[in-house]
Amino acid sequence: MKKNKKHIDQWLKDTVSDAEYHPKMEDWQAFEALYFKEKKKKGVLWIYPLIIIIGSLIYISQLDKNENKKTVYQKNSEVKKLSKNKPSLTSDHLKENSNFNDQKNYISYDNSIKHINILNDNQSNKLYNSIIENNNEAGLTKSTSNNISNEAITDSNNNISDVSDSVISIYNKNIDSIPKVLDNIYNKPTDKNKYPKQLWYMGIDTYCLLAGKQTSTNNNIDVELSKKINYMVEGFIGLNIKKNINIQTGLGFYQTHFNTISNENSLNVNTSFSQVTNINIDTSSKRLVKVTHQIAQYDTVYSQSKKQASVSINYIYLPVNIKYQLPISKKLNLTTTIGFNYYIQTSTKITGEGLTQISLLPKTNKSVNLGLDMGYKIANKLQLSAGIYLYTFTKNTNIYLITHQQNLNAHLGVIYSF
Amino acid sequence: MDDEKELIQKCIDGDRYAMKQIFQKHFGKTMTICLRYIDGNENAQDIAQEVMIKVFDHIKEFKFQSSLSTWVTRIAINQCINFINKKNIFVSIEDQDIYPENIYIEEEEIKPEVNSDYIIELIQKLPTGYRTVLNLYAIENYTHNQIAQTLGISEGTSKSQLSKARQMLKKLVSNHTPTIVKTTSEKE
Repeated sequence: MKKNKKHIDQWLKDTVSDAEYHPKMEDWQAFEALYFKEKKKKGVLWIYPLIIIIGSLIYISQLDKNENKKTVYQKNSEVKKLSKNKPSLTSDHLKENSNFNDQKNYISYDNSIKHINILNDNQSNKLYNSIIENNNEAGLTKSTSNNISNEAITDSNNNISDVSDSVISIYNKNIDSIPKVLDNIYNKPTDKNKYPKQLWYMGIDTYCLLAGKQTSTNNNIDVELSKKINYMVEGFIGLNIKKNINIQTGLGFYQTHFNTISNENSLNVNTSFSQVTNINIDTSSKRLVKVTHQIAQYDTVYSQSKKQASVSINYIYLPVNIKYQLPISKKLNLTTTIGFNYYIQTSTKITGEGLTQISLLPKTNKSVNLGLDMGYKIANKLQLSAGIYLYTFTKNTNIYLITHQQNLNAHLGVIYSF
Repeated sequence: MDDEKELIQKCIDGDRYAMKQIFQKHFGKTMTICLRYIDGNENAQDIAQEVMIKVFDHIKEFKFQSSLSTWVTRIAINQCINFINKKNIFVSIEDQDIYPENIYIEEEEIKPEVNSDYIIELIQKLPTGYRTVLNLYAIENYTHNQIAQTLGISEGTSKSQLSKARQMLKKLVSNHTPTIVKTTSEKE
């Protein structure tokens, strides 16, 4: 009798492929308990980032909608110093659209703010001064060309706004990390009696841009700018004066690599140093809810790039932040933040060969930041901080332009208290 | 198929009874797959539960291009392989030894008590590397190239592991049913 031989693979397949474990009632019960427990856990964990994302999207959509309709003008502008004996620059669009009577004399605008030159001409100065004196917004608006080239928008933006970015970035990072310092180092209500009266801390933080979009609007013309890399390193020192008040100062180094829209092949590097000082007050209505008023911050930024000599800008911020802290464990906690901010640009100074020094007072801008931060105690006095946050802001780059930015950032640093 | 579609829709809508029905229909097969790949019943049960969690989490994405059973099977195999890959148990073997390809079983001589459950128990006794390659090649019909890509090993390693797995399985079957299983190395 011939034996029915089967290859072992085939035999195995035939034998086990139809095999089926018979589930018991306990299997479903165990799975049901596990599944819904996991789901609940996931739901709780994701609700906060979800709120942040939805909130930011709503804000961004509202922001764009509102800003696109606005006329660009500069309120309460004041020119303190005007250039003297500068040769006139040509801008055909401006010439064509200018409402000045004398076509030879006008406020020129070309390629960057460095070219905002006021001609040393009686007629133009007279007209310009009249605008300043009368704070005639309409006058300024009319003098703005409807057809400023994309290149001009791009270049002027890059020169100034990248400097502003550094300040705003540092600012956003600080408002996220500082309250965390307070919370994690000593601000535990259960340890009330152990609070030191004053606590010094110092640290270093690194920051990078994960994703970003920058758009400039000039009379409803949107220009999207290209930005490659954006990172920062900042060292800081701070003092908690009381349980909920602290003052901090820091020095930051910041670099942005970007291409202008006018020349995709040209990589520009903008390097900035910034000095940031701020005072924070935290108010606790409940154990986990913090309202942070950053009552004052004063920044000075010095920037150097290939395209221009240097720029320094001073800002003052007036923010309010609402924070929700989730104590995961004694060592680890998570903090979500939503903040609304007004910041005032107090001065702009541009120096360099052939450039005009100007100062415009003041400019008000606004931003919103949404963040998720983590604080982890590595040792008794040493803390690791990391976070991710989204911020969006709108600013008047100069009298002609409104710039919108939406950036997603991450930061990682250590803080040592002593 | 329509019933299955309806059941899936109910499940998407959050009907817990529909979930239970899907679970009861597919957990058995999933558990069997996990038992074939994973060493130890408890580990297999954990992986099977993870598979079912994935199924319910992603059931909205099911496109009805295959049966639900095929989809669940694919998830189960992937989950098992992920678990195995995490353990990093494979050592690349580049030896040039030739292993016998043709190993046969004579069916008539296998006792009725050597059923599928028993074979799965024997498969579990194989080292993880052997077991994984054998499952993928013999039951899931993967090629050596596909196995190599899936497990991050060379084709040579896959071939040698398969061959060793076959030999060892044959030995295990023989040891437990010595009178009915014969080893043959003859070539067809």
